[in-house]
Amino acid sequence: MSSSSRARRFRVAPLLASLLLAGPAVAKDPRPIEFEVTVVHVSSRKGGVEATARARRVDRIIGPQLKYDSLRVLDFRRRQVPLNQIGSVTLPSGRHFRFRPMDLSDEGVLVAVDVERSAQGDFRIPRRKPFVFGGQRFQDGQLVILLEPDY
Amino acid sequence: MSARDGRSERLHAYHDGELRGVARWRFERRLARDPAAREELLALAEMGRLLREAQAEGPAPDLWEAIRLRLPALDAKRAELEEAPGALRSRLRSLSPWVGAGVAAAGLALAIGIEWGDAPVSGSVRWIDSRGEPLMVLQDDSKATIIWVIEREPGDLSGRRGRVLI
Repeated sequence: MSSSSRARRFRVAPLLASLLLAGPAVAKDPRPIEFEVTVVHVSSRKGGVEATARARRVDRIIGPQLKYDSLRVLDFRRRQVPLNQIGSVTLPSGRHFRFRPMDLSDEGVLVAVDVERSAQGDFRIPRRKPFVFGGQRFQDGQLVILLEPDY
Repeated sequence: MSARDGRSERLHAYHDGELRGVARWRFERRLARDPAAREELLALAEMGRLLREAQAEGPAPDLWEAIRLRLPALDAKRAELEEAPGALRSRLRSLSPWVGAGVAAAGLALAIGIEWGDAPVSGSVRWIDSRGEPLMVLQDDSKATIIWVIEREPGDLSGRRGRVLI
């Protein structure tokens, strides 16, 4: 065996070993998916939309569908969640908002969502598309949760 | 059988409601004058209570959450694949173990009483369950998906006229 072919073999062997050891993980993207979770309170009490860029953006998303007289952002979180792990945010109401990315495809990320003592479901959410879940009573109005994946 | 074994057997029979008539009356008279037997009877009752509680409890919450969040997603993924059978036939073939798992998961979920909604496959919504509360999908297009659960209490905004699309 020539020294050059032996050297090539030594270069290839670790690569093959790493591929074999990695197995199916190579096919799945191990990078966590970043989720932005925005929690908003809307009510019929006069107050308008909070004067922040985030509140105005939420207003542009939900305003055409819902009528309210005040909107304010209560919480904003970023969560890095790998596939098949559970991300969780505690809502101001004390309930938990949980989500679990299950699958990533060209159409978006399939997310299982569970709002404690409310609804649960599966949603295929494209990148940066707002997924809005609302209706939970809180104080004099209702909570609205926005979930936006980025990957 | 020793006298002690006999007493223990009658104690269990009494606890289980199997002693009748004179045998029950005689055993209750004995219980009245035997503190050790009364203690043993109390211990039996406590053990039964603990067993019933243990049987009533579900799986550990974290584990259950993980399973519950996973089950419908498998079915949703299968539904997506079935939506475009021609284009995805090869993927179906490669995913056949997962499809099988999805069917098994669906069967398991039905067995344990999870409700399955009528999931539209277009848009983002694959499956949704509002646990009996009225629910509206106000929007589900390329711009946003808006889900609204109507908690039937005063102050609900979703029933107001004008902007809510039903």
